Parts: sequence; structure tokens; C-alpha cells
Amino acid sequence: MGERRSAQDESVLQEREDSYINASEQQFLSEGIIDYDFRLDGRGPLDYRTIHISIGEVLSASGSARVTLGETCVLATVKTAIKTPSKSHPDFGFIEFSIDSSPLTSHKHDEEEDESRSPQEARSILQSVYQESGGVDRRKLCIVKGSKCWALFFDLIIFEKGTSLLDAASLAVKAALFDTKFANVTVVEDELDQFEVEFTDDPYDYWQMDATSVPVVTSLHKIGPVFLVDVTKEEQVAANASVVIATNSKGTLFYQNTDWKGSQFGFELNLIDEAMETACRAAAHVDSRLMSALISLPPPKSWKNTLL
Amino acid sequence: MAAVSGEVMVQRSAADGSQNDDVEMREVHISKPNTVRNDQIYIPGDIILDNTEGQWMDGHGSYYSVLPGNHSEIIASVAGLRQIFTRVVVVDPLKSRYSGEIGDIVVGRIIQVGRKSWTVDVGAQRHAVLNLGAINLPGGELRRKTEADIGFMRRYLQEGDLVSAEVQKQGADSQLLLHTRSLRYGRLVQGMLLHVQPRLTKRGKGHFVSYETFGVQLIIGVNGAVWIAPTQKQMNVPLGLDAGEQQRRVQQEDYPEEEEITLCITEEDAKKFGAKDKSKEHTTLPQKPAGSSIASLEVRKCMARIKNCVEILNREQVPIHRESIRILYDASRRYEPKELLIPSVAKEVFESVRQDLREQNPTA
Repeated sequence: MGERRSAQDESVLQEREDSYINASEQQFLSEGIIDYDFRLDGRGPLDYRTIHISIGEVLSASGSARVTLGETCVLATVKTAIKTPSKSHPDFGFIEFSIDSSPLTSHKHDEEEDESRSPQEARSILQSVYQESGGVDRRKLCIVKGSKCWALFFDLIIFEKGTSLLDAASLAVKAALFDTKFANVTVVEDELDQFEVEFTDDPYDYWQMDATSVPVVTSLHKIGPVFLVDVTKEEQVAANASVVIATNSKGTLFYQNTDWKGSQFGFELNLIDEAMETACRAAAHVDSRLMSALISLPPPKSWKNTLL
Repeated sequence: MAAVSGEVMVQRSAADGSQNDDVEMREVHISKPNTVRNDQIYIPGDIILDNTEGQWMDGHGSYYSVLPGNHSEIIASVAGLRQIFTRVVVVDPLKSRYSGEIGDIVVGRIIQVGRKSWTVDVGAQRHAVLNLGAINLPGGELRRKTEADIGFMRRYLQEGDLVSAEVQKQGADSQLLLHTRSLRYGRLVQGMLLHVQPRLTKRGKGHFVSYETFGVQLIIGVNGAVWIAPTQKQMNVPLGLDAGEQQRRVQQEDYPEEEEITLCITEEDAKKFGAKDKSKEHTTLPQKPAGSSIASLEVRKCMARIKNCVEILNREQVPIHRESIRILYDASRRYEPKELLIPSVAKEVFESVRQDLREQNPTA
């Protein structure tokens, strides 16, 4: 009672408060999954909770989407700009990511977490999926080879950080890209062989990128021999391994990573195939549902910012 | 092979220009309602009452503000509902931490084993304390706690263990002191915990709920922690009692043998557990206790349904008690437990019993 704890102890305890479950709870949770394929909330291993996506919320952005997946909530916005392509890839556009997890947006946020690598790790994974591995066809962003190209700046804000952050972030990126309106431009060449880009005056004269084959990220967690999608926090704690993949509708693999969580029961070799196959099926399902929902939406009308 | 399922719902925000081409400046109405409904929610900064004549006093969650021209107002400082006691205006917050009262039944998690006491997280502003003197130890209620008992504290309750307990008293600095000196309280094993808003779990009679027909038992902690577990002979493991668990710890930590037999509280249990202990002395597996899994699929389905029902009640701001859970449970029977996670289904089920739920009195 009279004991005084240091601030550091306090923060360790705070962290536990949220995610710690004891061995007995873990055993109870795992048993249902292993014996009956039955999770604590009644879902089967491959059942997602309903994913909510709202696009076009940010008026000042060229495209935006907010994704809610379980407790996780991520907003992605796209800003478009004209840039000069790099010398090494003269016919490629640019894609840049930044992820921010603001303390104002969640009551669960604490500074410790901000210091951790997690959002930065997510940023580098997204960067590698969408830019380096060619998840987005950057040739489509070229305007004049070697001189002018589009640059896409993806700014992600984590409103609430739950599980499956990467899944939600990739869905937000894909939906935001689908929503992005590129103004049609005319290129004028002046006397000095320099190119000038002129935007159209017509606010309805725009084009949109085909986002169908843009990849989505799917993470699976493994409890016993069972793979789970869209895990809860408790399941994440109880899981003994996880796999993260990025695939698109054509089945191309853009990223893959397995995490053994330092456990002796990591991935048995024969389970890797099953894990990949399951993850691809889950990704295909989410991707097809996302695309069919996106296509049924009415198209946006103006490329100009409504606020301007 | 199991099929992947799950829906993606996409909407275009109404704020997008696609709905109306030009941004329309809508007229902004700032209205002060003349008649105040009792269920109106005030947010911080809202004017609750005009206090020019000085007839009101500011209570919890509200403050008094003097404006130029001899004008003054009572303003809300938290989001919540207004309550007026004679002259005092109080805003009852919608979302708040648990504040304990003596006699509350709470479910908490051990977060620290200290000297002579455990620190328990009950979701209050400060962590609660469970003193070594406030638990029943093997060997009788009135036994003196010795130095040896202090040494064995971690064997009764470890970090991460869940306990049900009662608030014994409130310290001067609003720190709660707990006790588990009853067979009803103790360590909770094999089940799941969920958190709801503490204001929905009102103090009342039925905090220990048993749905015998479903084989499920509940502890609805006043602090908003709800424990759902399959019915066992004892849902709570009185501290240092559970035979299999105890034996496991004994084997792991070389607990003195003679203590083990006196760990049971009633003689009947002592015989039962004592007999069992010997029979499976050499066959205990730490991972899985003897027999198959603790809960059958049927029981797990009931638990999942109860869990989802409690979460709907929590979302819809309805008091959570034995009857409200039962009403929603019955109404949800035509759906699979997992279908209750779909917002439209949850809404439909809830709407079908909204009236029944409203008529329920939490203390009944």
C-alpha cells in the first residue's frame, strides 16, 4: 500500500492492462479453436468481422478512405502532385507513404507506443508492397517520359490501433487510390524544349486509376494448427506464430513475412504451404468484396477540391 | 475446408462533392432549447442552466461561469446527463472510470505481487489492493498469517490471475481494499473476460448469474468486468484450492506436501480433491487437465452468444444484468452467435426487444 512505484513500472502495468491475458484464459481460448474451430465470439477461423469503409471523407485530398476493421481504424488520404521522375526510372511516377499515429485520436495512445517502431514498420512494408514490388503500376503515373510524372503522397493516420493494422492500412490505401481523381493535363513544349503541364479548367475532366490489381495485405495468426483471420487482441496474444502476405487479384505475391514469436512451435514446414494458401484465399475474398462494393458506388464528379 | 467469410461495406461520404456539386453553406442554428428532456446529453461547454439569479449551485461535472453584464450560467465540464438535486446541478458522466463502493463485487486482474498484498487492476482510478490478511488461506479462516505465507503469496495468486472479490473498504485516498473471505470469491480460471462500461453494471443483487440450462455462469462485476465461464462445480477457485492447478504448481515449485491436503475449504471437497490428487499424481499434464476440453461446443456457443449479447447491450447503453441478458439472448436465438456481430442483425435483434429491456429494473 505504502509502496511507491516508479513511472516506468506504471507504464509497464498500463500496457498489460490492455493486452495481457493469463495462461488459463489463453488455454480456454485456444482449446475452442483447436477442438471445435470455434472462437470466443462465435466466429470460425476464417470469418472476418464486417469491414466498414467510408471514402471521400477528406475534401481537401484527391482521394481518401477510412477503414474500420475490428477496433482498428485507419484513414488514408492521397495527395497528387507533378514531379520530375528520377533518372534511373524516367517513365515511373512516385509513391510516398507516411504514417502518423496521433495522440489526439485515441484515448489508448501513449507516448511509449509512439516511440516504438510499429507505425514505421508498417510504413516500410507498405512502401515495399506498393512501390518497390510494383503493387501500383507506376508507369501509369508517367506524363512525359523523363520530364513530368505524377507523384502520389499517401498519408495515413491511425485513429485507433487494434489488431490487423496492416490489413486495414492496405485496404485504406487501395480504396483511397480507387477514389483518387487525377486532373487531365495537357503538355506544352516551349522553345527551350522544356515541358509545361497545364491543368484542365473543367472540374469534371479527370481520370481515375484502375485499382483492381492493387494488392491487399492479409495477416494470419496461428493457434495450434489453425490459422485465423481478423484476430482479436486476446487471440493475438495467444497466437504462437503469424504470417503476413500481400497479394492482388491476379494472385501475384508482393510481400511475405512470417513471425514465429520466438516460440518453439513456430511454423512447421508442412504448414507454410497451408498458411500461404489460406492467406491467399482470405485475401482474394476480401479483395473481391472490396472491389465489388467500390465499383457499385456512384463516381465522384469533380477533381477539384470542393473546399477551394 | 472452411470458407472465408466476411462483408465489406463501403459508402461514399456525404461530405464528398459528388452528392451536391456546390458546397452549400447551411444555416447554422444555435438554439437553446426551452424544454429540457431528461435524457439530453450535455457535452463539455454546453450551457445547462441560466444562473443569473444565482439559484443553482455547481456540482460534480459542472461549473459556474460569470459572464459580462451580471449574467451567469452553469456549464457542463463532462459529457453526460443532467441531474438536479434541490439546488445542486450535477452532470452524470456517460463514460467514466469505476468508482468503488463498499460491498461491490468486482472482477480484477492481479498486476503485482507485493509484500503482504496484491495490487489488483479493477479499472478504477487507482489500482485496488488485496491484502494477504483479506484472503482465506488454507488451514482455516482465523489462522495467523506467517512469514512463510508471505513467501508463498505468488502460489496463491500470480500476476495476470483474475479474481472475483468484494470491496471491503475505501482508503482515504479513494484506494479500494478488497477481500475474498467468502466461498463465492476467488481465483477465476477457464473462461473469458470482457469489459463493459462500468455505469451499465449497476449495484444490485444478481452479480453471480448462473444459466443452468445453458451450462454457463457469469460474474457481472460492478467495475464493468464480466466473467463468462462454463458451469463447474465451483466457478471460483477459492485461493489455493483447485486440485489440478494446485498440483501443477506444487510440482513446478516444490510446494510442501502436507500443505496440499489442507488446502480445501470444506471437508467434502477435501475428500474429493484429496482422493483425486492421489489417483492422478503421476499423470498430470500441465497443458491439458485430465479428460477432454473444459467446455463442449454447445456450451461455447452459449458463451459466445452471451458475450455478443453483452456487447450489444454495452453498445446500446442498456444496463447489463441477469434479465437484460436473458431477454436479448432469447431474442437472438434465431441467429447463429457469430451473426450477432453483423451490425444490421444486432440492430434488428435489439430493436425487437427494446421495449422489454426498457421496462426492466436493474435491481429487480
